[in-house]
Amino acid sequence: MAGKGQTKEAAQAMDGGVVLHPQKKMRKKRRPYFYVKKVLFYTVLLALSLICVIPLYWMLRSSFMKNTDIYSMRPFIFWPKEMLWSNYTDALKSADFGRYAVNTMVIVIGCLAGTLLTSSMAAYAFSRVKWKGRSFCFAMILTTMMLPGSVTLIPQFMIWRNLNLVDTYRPLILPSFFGGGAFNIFLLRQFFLGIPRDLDDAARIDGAGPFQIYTRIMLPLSRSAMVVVALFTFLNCWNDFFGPIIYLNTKENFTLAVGLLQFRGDYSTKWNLLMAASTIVVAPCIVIYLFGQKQLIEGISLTGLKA
Amino acid sequence: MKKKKTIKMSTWNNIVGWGFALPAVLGFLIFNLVPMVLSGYYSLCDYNIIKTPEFVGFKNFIALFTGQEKTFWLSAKATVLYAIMAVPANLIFAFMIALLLNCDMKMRAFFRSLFYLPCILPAVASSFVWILLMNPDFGLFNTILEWLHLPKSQFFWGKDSVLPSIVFMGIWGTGSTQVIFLAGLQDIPSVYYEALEIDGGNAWHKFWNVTLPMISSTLFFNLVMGIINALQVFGQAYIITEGGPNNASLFYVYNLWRQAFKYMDMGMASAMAWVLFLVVLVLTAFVFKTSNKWVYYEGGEE
Amino acid sequence: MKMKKLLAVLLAGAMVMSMAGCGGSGGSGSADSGSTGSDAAADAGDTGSSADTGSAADTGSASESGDVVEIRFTEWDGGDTLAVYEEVAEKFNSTHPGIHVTVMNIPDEYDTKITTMIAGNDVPEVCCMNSDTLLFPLAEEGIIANLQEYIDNDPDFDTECVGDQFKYMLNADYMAGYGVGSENITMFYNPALFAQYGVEEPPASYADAWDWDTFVENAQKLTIDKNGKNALDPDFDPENIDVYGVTISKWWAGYMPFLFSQGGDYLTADGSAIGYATPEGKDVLQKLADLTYVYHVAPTPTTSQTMPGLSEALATNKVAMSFDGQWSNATLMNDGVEYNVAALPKMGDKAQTVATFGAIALMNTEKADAAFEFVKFMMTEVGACEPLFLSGLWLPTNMKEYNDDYIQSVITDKHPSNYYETIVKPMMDGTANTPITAYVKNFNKINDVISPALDDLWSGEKTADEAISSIEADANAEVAGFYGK
Repeated sequence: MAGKGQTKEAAQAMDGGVVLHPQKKMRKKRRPYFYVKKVLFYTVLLALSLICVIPLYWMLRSSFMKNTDIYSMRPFIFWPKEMLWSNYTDALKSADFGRYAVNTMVIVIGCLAGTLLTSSMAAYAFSRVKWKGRSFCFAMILTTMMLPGSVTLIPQFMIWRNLNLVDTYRPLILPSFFGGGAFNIFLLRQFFLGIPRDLDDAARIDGAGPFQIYTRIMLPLSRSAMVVVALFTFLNCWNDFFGPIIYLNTKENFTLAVGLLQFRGDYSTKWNLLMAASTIVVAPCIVIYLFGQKQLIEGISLTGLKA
Repeated sequence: MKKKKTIKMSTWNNIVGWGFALPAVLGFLIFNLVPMVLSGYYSLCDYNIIKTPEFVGFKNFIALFTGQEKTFWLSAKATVLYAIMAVPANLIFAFMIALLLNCDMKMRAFFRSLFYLPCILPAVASSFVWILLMNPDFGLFNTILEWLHLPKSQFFWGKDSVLPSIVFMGIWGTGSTQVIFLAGLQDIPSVYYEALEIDGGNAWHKFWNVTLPMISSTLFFNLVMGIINALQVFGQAYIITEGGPNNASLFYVYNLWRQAFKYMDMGMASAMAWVLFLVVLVLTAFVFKTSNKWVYYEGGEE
Repeated sequence: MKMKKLLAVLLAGAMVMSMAGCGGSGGSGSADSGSTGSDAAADAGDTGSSADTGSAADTGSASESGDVVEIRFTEWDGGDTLAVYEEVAEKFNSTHPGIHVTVMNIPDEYDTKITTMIAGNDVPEVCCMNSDTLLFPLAEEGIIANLQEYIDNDPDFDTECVGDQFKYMLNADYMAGYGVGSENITMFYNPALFAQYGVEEPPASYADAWDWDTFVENAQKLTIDKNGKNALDPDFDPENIDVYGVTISKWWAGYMPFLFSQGGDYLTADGSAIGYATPEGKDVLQKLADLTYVYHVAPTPTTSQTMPGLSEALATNKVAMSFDGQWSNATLMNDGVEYNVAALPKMGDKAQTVATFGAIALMNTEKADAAFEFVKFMMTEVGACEPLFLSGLWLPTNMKEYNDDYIQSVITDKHPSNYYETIVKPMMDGTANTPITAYVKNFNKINDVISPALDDLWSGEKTADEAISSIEADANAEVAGFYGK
């Protein structure tokens, strides 16, 4: 309630006489100031985004070059005159990327389904339901993020080994169906806590049970947070190479991220092919992000309406 | 009658709560608890992964704290220095970018995607680029510094500049923090701003009286995650610096990984892990404790 | 209450499940790895949930073809090397009907994965090993089998193929591994720059190698600032160098040839202290650092760490000479760069170099007999890795391949003209020393103490004496003598 209170206080403070005056003044002065601000705003935005683009630009540029030209600084080659599309065909030929892509999709889809379902369920329990052991369980789940993975890796591997599931995708997917990671649970809990309680109460009066409240109120209203979780899960699975390296043995089971590493040799790396392959692997991520962030914008209008 | 109903309600709540949390709790029990307990046991053992662990009491911890294991304090110092710089830098920068991207602008989708790009690219590709950008001799950054008549830097290859360089590089990897802030910002109902606008509040009032309180739960999340992640920083040392120059970026978890898989001293690595665990736990608990003073939940705390 | 009970049961279940695993890890590590591949495969086959359709099911094909023994050969290298290993495995499989070898590529976190597999009782049958990390510790625990024993017990084994310098000996009788893909440190140079500045090209043979002063003087003649003045000119501008006389590689193999040349070694002869702390050791390091800070003929360490690849540097006349690994020939030849190789200069009486190579290790598993067949094939089959000799990446480790007919047949016209004299010959006459990782105990830890201290030397902040003295005691505390003795 503090937020609303503050808002009102602020509003009251504004009412104290000074209000009308500055508003009028602002109207008059707005035009030139407004444009200066806009120009400044876009300049800053462009400058910052430029640094963000450099890695992508570099990747694209290098993917069309000869390996020796990539490093050339004097003269710096801004864009290769002759674009070597053959890097792309060579990169695709060097490994079975079609198969890797299918494997990656299987893992990604499994993880997405599991994470979205079970992390939101847990977040609901941790934010909306009062039950015995809630704080304790939540604290326990949070602690899983605090112990470095290096020391839990071997016992974890032994569990999967004893279940005879090494070199299958289950060690990579199943954990998603058991909570989907403390990070996601914590994130969703924070967002669920922000949804006004009046809504549940109203629904409860209308006879809705906890399951209905979860599916009809929490999930739709936290759509932007769910999109964020989905996005992170997708990108993490897509780019993760450590899990697949540890749990997969057979080359036929490898994923795209592991495939990328296979371009790196101990002696020399074909950076141009690696960059071409990276571009191919990254392209779906960029599309997914473009799509996902559109959902984020839609998320606002929904929540905007409700309050 | 009334009493009976409330008892039923709490039992019902217990069932619902446990039911919804069950997958996560099971996941913790199956996949996390035992490995954690075991690593705790290993920390009290001489354990080289191959042989049976041999119980030695607090030997490993004593070796760490008495400086017998010389790199322990070195790596702790590097990590704390990094965390002190990185946590505020990442939070402030990510929040500023999120505010910027939340403004009304042309091609918002386009800009948002640009700022998230550094997170999407595979680490192999982006670290390669950063190494070139920060090259002391022909890298872009030194070229710019030279052009501005500012002193040049050694970046990753200078003892004093390596940590700031890693922090700087890390800022561009805060895309996920930005996105979380963005999602939080967008969940602020616009009526609050409208109300303030009607009352004549300026941008600062909006920020201070609406945005900050409404975003505090997201800020809290990002702060906790920022602390946890900063103290476990690993990738940059593993991929780019290998702890150098002269151990200036020998991060704690990198050192721990080295103990475990390069020197095969899993006992020592586990002891280091548990020291870190306790530190992170205390810090997180502290942040949680203070949170009811500054974090506002619209849905209420309970 | 019920919840608590349920919790307790679950907890106990999870405990039992993973404890079973820990018990296993305590053992020799080789117990039941035999059945695992097929178990996992069968399991994946019959319980195939939606998660792992198709691709995961065909893990190990042992289950379908009764008598064939499945051998996994792990290695870390991607690219051409992986392709050659796969060719070798195919060749082996076609001639050995009872055994099927699969190359298991682990492109990152190699030691982590191998260690984890061993802890999880899932030991691969044949492994490439890092001699500085896992090889000897695993042999000490008996997880790596004694290759010598297998060789002695095999009457068909052609011992003429085995060279002493390629053996990784844990002690006098225990062979932990055998070298695969040998290489040595050598000098690459750009003949065009030598011609342009009128400097005589360096000698190909180690017998005629330049002494250090001649080398430094020539390097000065070849270091050119942006005004076209060389490093001997009093007006030379060391801040703006266009062409560097030489680049050196900053890791143990980069300095060791010169320490060997001075008669030193990584450890003192009695194996009780580090060799860099001796007067010769400090002299070697100081002379190398002086190339940058006194003579200005070599780039600073930051520059050289971030210099473009050797191939680019030579092709664009950025560098006149470079001390680097012979494997760079593969890139240089592939890129068609005009270059040649020459003997490293000498700091002491005799010019020396150092070899490096990976280790192939036979793991102590139930299938070790079959796995040995593959190791034997790798060790004795002439021309098994021939594509990598042809590409300039590797030299043989099979002594039968070190005969003039065979060697000449794998030197192509793309190889630099001095290849035989400068690179191949040192491997045969002992000029190329055994890699120190093959005989220095605890190398990894000693090196992790020394290397950071050397950063201060290479950055010009300390002299060799100061840098080494600052860590001498710490490094000596890690010294544990030699293997193989």
